[in-house]
Amino acid sequence: MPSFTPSNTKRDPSETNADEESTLPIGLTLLAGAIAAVVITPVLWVLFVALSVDPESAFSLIWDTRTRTVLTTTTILIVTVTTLSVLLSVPLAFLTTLTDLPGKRLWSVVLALPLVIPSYVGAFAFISIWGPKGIVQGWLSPLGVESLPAIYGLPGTIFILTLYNYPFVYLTTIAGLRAFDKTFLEAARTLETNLVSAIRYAVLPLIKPAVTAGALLTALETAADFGVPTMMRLDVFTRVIYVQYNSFNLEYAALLSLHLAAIALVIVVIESQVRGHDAIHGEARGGSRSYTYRLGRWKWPALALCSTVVLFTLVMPVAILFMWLVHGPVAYAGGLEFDWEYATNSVSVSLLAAGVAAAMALPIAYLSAQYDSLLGRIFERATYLGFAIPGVVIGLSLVYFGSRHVPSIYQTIPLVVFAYVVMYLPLAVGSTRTSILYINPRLTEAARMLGSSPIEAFRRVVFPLMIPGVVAGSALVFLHGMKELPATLMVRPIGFETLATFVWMVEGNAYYGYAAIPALLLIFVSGFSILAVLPRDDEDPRLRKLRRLLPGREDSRDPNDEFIIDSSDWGDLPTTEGRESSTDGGVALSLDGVSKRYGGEPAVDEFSCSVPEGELLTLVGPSGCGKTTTLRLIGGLERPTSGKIRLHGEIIADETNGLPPEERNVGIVFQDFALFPHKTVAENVAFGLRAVEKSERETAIDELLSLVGLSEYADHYPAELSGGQKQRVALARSLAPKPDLLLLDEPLSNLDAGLRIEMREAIREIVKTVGVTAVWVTHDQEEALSISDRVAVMHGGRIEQIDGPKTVFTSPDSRTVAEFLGHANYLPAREENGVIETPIGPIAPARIATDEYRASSERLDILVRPDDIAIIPTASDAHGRVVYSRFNGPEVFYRVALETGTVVGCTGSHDEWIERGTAVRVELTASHPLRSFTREDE
Amino acid sequence: MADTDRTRFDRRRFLGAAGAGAMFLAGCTGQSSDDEVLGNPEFTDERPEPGGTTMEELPELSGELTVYSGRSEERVGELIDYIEEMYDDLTVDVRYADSSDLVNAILTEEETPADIYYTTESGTLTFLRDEGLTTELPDDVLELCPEEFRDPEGNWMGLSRRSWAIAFNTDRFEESDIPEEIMAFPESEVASEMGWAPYRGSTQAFITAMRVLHGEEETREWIEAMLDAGLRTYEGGRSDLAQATGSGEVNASLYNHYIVRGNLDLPIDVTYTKNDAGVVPVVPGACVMNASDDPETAANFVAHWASAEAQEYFATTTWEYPVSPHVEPLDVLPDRDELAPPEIDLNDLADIETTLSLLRELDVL
Repeated sequence: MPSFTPSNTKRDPSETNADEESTLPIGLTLLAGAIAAVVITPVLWVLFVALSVDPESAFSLIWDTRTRTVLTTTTILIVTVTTLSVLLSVPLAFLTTLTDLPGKRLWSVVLALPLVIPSYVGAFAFISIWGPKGIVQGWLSPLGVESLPAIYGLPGTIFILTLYNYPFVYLTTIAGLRAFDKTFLEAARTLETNLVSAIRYAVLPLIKPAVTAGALLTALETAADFGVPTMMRLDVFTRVIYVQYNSFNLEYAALLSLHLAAIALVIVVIESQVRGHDAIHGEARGGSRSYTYRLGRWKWPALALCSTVVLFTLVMPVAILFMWLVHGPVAYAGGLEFDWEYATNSVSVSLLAAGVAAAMALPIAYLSAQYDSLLGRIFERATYLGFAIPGVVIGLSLVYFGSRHVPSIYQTIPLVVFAYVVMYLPLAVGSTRTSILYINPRLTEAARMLGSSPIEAFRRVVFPLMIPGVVAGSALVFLHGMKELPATLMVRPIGFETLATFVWMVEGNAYYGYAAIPALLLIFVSGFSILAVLPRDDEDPRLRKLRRLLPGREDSRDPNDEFIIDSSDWGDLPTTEGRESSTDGGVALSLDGVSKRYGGEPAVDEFSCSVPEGELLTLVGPSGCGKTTTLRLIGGLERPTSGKIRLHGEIIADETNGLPPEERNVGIVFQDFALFPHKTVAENVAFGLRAVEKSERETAIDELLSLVGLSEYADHYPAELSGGQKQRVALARSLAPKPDLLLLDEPLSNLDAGLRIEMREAIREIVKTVGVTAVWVTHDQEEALSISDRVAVMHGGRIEQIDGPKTVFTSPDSRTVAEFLGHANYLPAREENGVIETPIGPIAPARIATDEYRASSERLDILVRPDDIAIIPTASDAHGRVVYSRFNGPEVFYRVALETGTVVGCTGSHDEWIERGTAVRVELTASHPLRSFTREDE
Repeated sequence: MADTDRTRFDRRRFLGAAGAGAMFLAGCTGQSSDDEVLGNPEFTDERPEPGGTTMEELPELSGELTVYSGRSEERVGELIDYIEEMYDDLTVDVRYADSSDLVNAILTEEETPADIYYTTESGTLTFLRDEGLTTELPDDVLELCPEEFRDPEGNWMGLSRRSWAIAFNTDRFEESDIPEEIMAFPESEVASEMGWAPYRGSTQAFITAMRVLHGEEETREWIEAMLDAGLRTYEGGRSDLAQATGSGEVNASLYNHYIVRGNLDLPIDVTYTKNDAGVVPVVPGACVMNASDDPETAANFVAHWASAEAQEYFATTTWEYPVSPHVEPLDVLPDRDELAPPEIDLNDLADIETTLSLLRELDVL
């Protein structure tokens, strides 16, 4: 048996579009670059202003003792808050995703809610409650507690910022935990008795990209937070910048902001290092199974943890707000009336910003997720800078640009919206990018192979699947916009009041009673957007039910008249005769000297072969032999470096040109099925039939589903099907557009062993029924030998041999082929006196298949398969002894050490058991000619 | 936070609480109080008619004005709306923000859209004047304000007056516990229980005044001694210092006299030192920007703030001392005569740069 390499997640060329790395799409790149440039400009202005400081004082300011102290404090703050956020979020995410925690759905919403509470409100509440003379002290004063220990300074700041910034990590971690394949966890738990080590070794590495993505946002938000360190009296950069700003030393403020920009860069670079560019999508097999860990008696501590977090982050600030509400304002403030317009202002500006950010994030996120390129990374990461620069500085920068270059939008709503976009675009980019990374690239390829252009594939498959991510990103932008204060104050239109500015105004003057309503309203409105931010649990059957009920599903659309194809023979598709007429022995596919190189390394090397109409050809070979690449070349998912590929005589690809996959009329079945998760079985099958008239399409779907035996599952979603069913849907889907050629890429390797044999028969049956020419890639020689008309054994990018299954097995052209296809014994032999002497006795030359030995008659190796020989225990004239035996069920496998030292493997009936050490005779039982090879030098 | 356990109930608290309930309802339901009365009705009834030039005697206003106001909407919004409503052809757009935001915006804007800049203390007015961004006010406008509260060069004028003061927690201290001289504080028992907000412009102005009046060296020693005694730093502005003073976190603070206004529920009272930096006036005022398209209307608008009605408004509503000698401050405040401010040119208070370096040297900022 060839070694079976489990499909690991190592980067294979198709995974990251390596092919197109050098050829970034120009339009998209320019668009993404332009957007990045627009949002980075306000940050660059800071640099520009900072440069106007005279170098000497600039240096002394940047590097004096005090600044260094501030740098140290800021760094400690960021590192500690981020670390604690991760330590808090990961267990919380684990509890609310993978355990039977009571009410976990509710918890997962509530635990994300701290994100909507403006940190200045949280900090204020915290001080009111826990301050040296706060409410708690009031309760304790009867006990003689005169004052509580001061909470100000670094510990208090860390505490509050952790409580309000951890949800970034929490949200991304939930998303990670929901997406990854829980079978890993099950597997790990069977190996590790202890849950903790299972999590440590199986879960943590898998959710690392998700955790880092959240940690990045937590770190940047911590760096840019002004309100909390100010209230907690901690000297960090935002506060030092503000001191300069307050004394109108804009240059110094800008200079100090560069520190923050530099810190942001460092954070972004660290995060890049940690996360890498690994695609984080699971297999495209469909949803992963849900997994529940029973908490048992740990339920109570778990509930206590969740409740404590919620108590501190939500209950306390909201309670304080209600106290304000009940107590009411204590001083007169004429003309100070809350107007509902403030709420609509907040909501509309934040919604606009969310929409604009979502649209602007799309090209940047797509470029960065789909193409592993430096430019893409730079564009994406550039957007993060605005997130770490204090709002006042961004605001001022926009005052500069607005009043100078676009006076028409200065002090207008578009400038406010733009300010939010500059600051919060990375939230949308990050979320959108992650959602794209979670989409298996096979899905796009599947759509292309089903006749969709790249844009259409994006619209029909990628876009619907990334919408939750886009919406989540927009919601994050929205709720940040709702809270935003400093930049709003700088650039808002005159008289434009938002909830946040109103709260600021009244709270700043201690009119707490007036602040209560807008602050509660702010929290309430933003609270709803959390529902959009929460990663959707696609396992939820209710959601699927809902989707089924949704009207206007894509396939019910009217076909485009222009593209109606002649479908006169649709009716007889599932019959044997269906394709009989076209199986006229002509050549369906031919490859002529096709090579494919990745950076000089040939993956496919001078590959030539032709496939007659109606043939089922398998490409078999060990991992990395180029068989999948060959298939992708035929499908048009890769382009050849040289050589020609013809379909029905027409060149579909050569070194310069290639028909795009959607124009080749070639169907493909992927190893991981790549069913569109957002479409039902019927919709999946219908995907490639958009051009077909509705009634015919429905007939075709019915026929195909009955062909694959899934008629009852038409309305199911892929996640509801078993592996074998999914594979049959994939097959039906690829056959639907009546392809000229069907490609099957390891179609069975994701199935259980028993199912695999059943399915390979079924697929062959269907392929033959339809009569389609098929190329089937497998690494399993038994599979190849059992189903093919012809087998092409590949090695090192080349065809070693292409022949019928029997021929390649019994008469391999090379040792490589011989060894790949099954256990190969070589009997050393030499010709003496017209007979061939071997360790098991002489063999007549006529029984040797090739005439190769005549050229080198001295030394031969004769290929003998284990079932070509039999062993018989004997007292005398033994050839050797049994040194190994293994009971395989129907047969027993033995290894016999011959007297010459050669060890041969052979099989015997399960009826008889020969003990190790038994002396045996070895007899040649095969009747077919034996293949021999020139012996290699020893 | 209101501390319900406390039983202290003075007249201030009573009046405030009564007013609060009514205002709260008005505030929440969106009904404005009686439109006929300008200012806090709680205090307007029993007062004599304000003297001085009335709004009616001032030139009529028309056109469009943009005001950058560092004074917040709840303090001056009602007054500005009142003036705007007096004239059919007058439109006033007000941008409310922190003074520092507005000055930074003016400095950054290519040409500020603001006609008038209005602020809580005169330092930024001097700053803008020195940057050459303001224009001279006409004499008839300037004359509405006593000389001591306006720019000698005539580029800005004060419109109301606050005083720097010592706020103290009445549960802890009697007025007599507080020294009468600011320079005597470090040696007093109060020093160890005091708070201040050195990040605030007004505190910096106080230090500037001390520098001007007592010299830099003495000022430095005073700050060091206070810090040694246990002076605690607060952010200020978000009323945290007032809360801390009222709650007993500290028991006295360097503050503006109107601390009592916003914190009627707290056991806070104020007292003044005499003839020194501790009682330095803080003057909210306005200037007209030289980028204004209509400086004449702008100046006349500023004049309206100095009118009898507006001065009365400041007295009753923001609890400030009117700059007009013809309008009396609120009864709850010490008389003007009791205040013994030092003699000082307010423009000297604008030199905060030296103050900032001093504070930074002492690791206060």
